[in-house]
Amino acid sequence: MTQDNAVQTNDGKLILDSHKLSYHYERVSAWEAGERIAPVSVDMALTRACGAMCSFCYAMVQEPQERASIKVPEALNLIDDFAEIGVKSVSLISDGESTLSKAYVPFIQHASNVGIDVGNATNGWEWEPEKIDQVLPHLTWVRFTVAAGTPEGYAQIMFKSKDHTEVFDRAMRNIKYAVDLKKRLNLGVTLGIQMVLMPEFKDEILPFAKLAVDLGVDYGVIKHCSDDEFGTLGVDYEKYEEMFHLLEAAEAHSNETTKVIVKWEKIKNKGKPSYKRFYGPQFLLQISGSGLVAPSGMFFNARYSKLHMGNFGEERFKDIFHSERYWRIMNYLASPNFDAQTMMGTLPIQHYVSEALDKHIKGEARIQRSNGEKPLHVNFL
Amino acid sequence: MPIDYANVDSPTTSEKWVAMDEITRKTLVSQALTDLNFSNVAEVVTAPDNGQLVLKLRVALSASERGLFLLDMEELLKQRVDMGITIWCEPVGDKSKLRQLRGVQIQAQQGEDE
Repeated sequence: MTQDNAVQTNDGKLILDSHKLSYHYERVSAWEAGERIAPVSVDMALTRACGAMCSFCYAMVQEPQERASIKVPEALNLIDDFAEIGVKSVSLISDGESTLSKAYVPFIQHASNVGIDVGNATNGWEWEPEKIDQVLPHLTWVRFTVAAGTPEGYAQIMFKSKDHTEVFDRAMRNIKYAVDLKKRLNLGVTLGIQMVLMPEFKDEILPFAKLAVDLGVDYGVIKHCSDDEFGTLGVDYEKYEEMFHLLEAAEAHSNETTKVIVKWEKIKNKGKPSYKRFYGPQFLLQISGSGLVAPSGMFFNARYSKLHMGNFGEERFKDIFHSERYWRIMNYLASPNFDAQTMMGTLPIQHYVSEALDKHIKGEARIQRSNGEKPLHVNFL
Repeated sequence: MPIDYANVDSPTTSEKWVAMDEITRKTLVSQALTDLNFSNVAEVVTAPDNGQLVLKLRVALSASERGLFLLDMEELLKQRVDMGITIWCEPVGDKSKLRQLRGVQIQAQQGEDE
């Protein structure tokens, strides 16, 4: 483990528990100089729909007013707009299972063709070989949500009950197919599985680590669970400390092929950020599977309507990006009127970036330009 | 870009606001919404002592309209009623029938007085 919490894999340096702003120093400098910068990364979904019912799912608190269905032409226009303004990567994660969208395959292929890196987090249930064949060569990484290491635990957490282990079997079949295809075609894509850890899942930590190794994926990562500012999902951050020994034991499962990684920085954070202002969204924007553009997934719910910027199903994203509303909302998050410690949920996807930018501005830890070896997935902040 | 506020505390509600009961606060905010010609668009649902108001929107505003509209409204309420005011809208619960089986209820209100 290095200063940037990087882990060395067979394919290169993997940073999951930190940020990569030092590799995008020009954009940091432009931001500091007051320029209107394009996001380096966009985290989004192509639908709000999902066939799973994960008990840790933040999408339960992200319902916006509308549930528009994203059409293929709109999705392709979005990619063109990203390319035009300078977005470097897109992660299909956010608040829906994008593999269910008709736009899924063409979106990924088009992004790849115009030079935008694409990553995808999925449960893998509807990610059958025919679809995998079409997208895997175009993807930079795929991260499978695997909530537990045992079939019963997986089914209990991600579906209706512990008896529905068919969803586990289907996911494992598809993950194994992808692992084999990567080897067969010598693809550069990184394959990982992720466990979103709630304290009540502690018995699944070691089986999860073993499963990652057995599958032969590049990594298995264990991360905290986000919650909204009202504790709707009931995450007790005080209980994470009791699991540290299990997490350390899980990391010890790492071998040459598979690294088991714990996002210690977030897990030890206990849910309260050190920063008051929220600068991260200017570098890492989020878009809902409803088409809603908001600075962060923390603000998708109708509760945060004042932070809604537009919907790319109703107008072009580049017009939203260039609008006064986009910048007024970004400026609001950087103003004293917004308090990141009390007005949003815990540990957003922009956490590492926001923390680094805050320390940069305060002079506590200036971001330095990196001239070293680029890590894997450098365009995903 | 206003990046020089990193160390600045957010405004808090005044002693006068805190000393009022919630009915009085809601009356004050409702009157301000009327005076500012917002009463046909929004009504106040909760007005806790921390100033985190929850409003109910009476009309549907498009995604491109509601952000600036509500930020303007918040700014005017700050100037007219109390600088510690922040506005939020009523939340919408998860529409996924499957996930609803989890029984997670999104809070309808926030910041109730203790």
